[in-house]
Amino acid sequence: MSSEVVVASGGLDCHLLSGCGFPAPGAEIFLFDEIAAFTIGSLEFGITKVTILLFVSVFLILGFFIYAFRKPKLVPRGAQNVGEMGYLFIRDGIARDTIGKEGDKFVPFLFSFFFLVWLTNFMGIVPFAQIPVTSIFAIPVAFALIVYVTWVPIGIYRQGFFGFFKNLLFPPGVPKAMYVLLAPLEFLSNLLVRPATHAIRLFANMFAGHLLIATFSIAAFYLLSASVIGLLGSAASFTVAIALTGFEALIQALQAYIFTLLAAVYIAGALNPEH
Amino acid sequence: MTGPGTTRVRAGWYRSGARRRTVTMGDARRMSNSAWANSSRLITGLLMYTGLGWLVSRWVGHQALLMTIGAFVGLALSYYLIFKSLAHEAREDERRQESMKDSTRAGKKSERGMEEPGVI
Repeated sequence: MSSEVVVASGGLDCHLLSGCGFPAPGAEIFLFDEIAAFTIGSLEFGITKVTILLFVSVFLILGFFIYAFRKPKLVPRGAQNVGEMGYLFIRDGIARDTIGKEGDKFVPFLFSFFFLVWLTNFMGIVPFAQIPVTSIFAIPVAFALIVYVTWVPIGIYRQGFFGFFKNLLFPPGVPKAMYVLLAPLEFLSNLLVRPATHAIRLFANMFAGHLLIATFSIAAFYLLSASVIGLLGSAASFTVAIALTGFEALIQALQAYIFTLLAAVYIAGALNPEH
Repeated sequence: MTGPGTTRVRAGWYRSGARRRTVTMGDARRMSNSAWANSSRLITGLLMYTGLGWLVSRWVGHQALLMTIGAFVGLALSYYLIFKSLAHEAREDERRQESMKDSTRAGKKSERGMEEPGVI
């Protein structure tokens, strides 16, 4: 069996004593076979596990919140209680703290993003799903683009076209002559690096986390053999994989929070320029 | 607690040496905004001027030194921009603190936390 085939099969046939080396997982664990494919016009659509998980996440969120708020009571109980806690967390913890008085208008936007990002991240540690949807780069890019096409028009609408670009390009407190060197820097920083880092921050965290869990899980299988080193190493790898899963649960929530917070920071900057 | 032999500790004694200041939600928001903006500036300056240096070095025929110089210039410019904008924010902050103090002294209702629904 060639090493490529072993890696592609997840390395489950490879063991410490069979002499085929450790099948370290690579980027191929993020590639999935198409379950279905169709074409609309000239666009080709391939449905993979990730697509399905994305839709499952969306419908779970919709289902939960529609269920929670179907018959709202003044004194919330059960699901409504949880739903209201989530709502208040976004409204008070993110929207009002970051945007201010006008924050309430953006609560639905931030609320949807927080729960969508969180649940799509969470798919990474759900048994049988086991892939964070946001570790496929196109998905955080799409999320970041939605935020981008929200705050840029808001800024242009509120500050005027020239006012918006003036505030973006010319930071206050800098001598006029330096603007030649600094204005392009500010332009790139605000309009290119911001959305790029917004997407990459989420993607890289989820990608790296999933790779780590996969590495230790495969190591636990690989080392499992009738030898002292094998058994000890396998047990250690298994323990680390479990611990990392718990750690990932934390990172997933944190990244969803940071993504939403940054969206709010960008909207706040578009609404109230500091100078 | 205030009998003979006990020392009465004034509330807030621990900041007696420090500059007394009022922190509003607005201040917290400005700090958070500038933190995110500055991290983005640091990366951009480095990347942009390294890239420019690389382009120029290609143009003049592969002088690798130009790219290195670009990296240093970019980093220096980023730091310059960050220092300048932080200094500007500190001045603005000072100005706001003064105006807040004046309005309190003049017997007006303190602006502390009144500008936003939440208060730190």
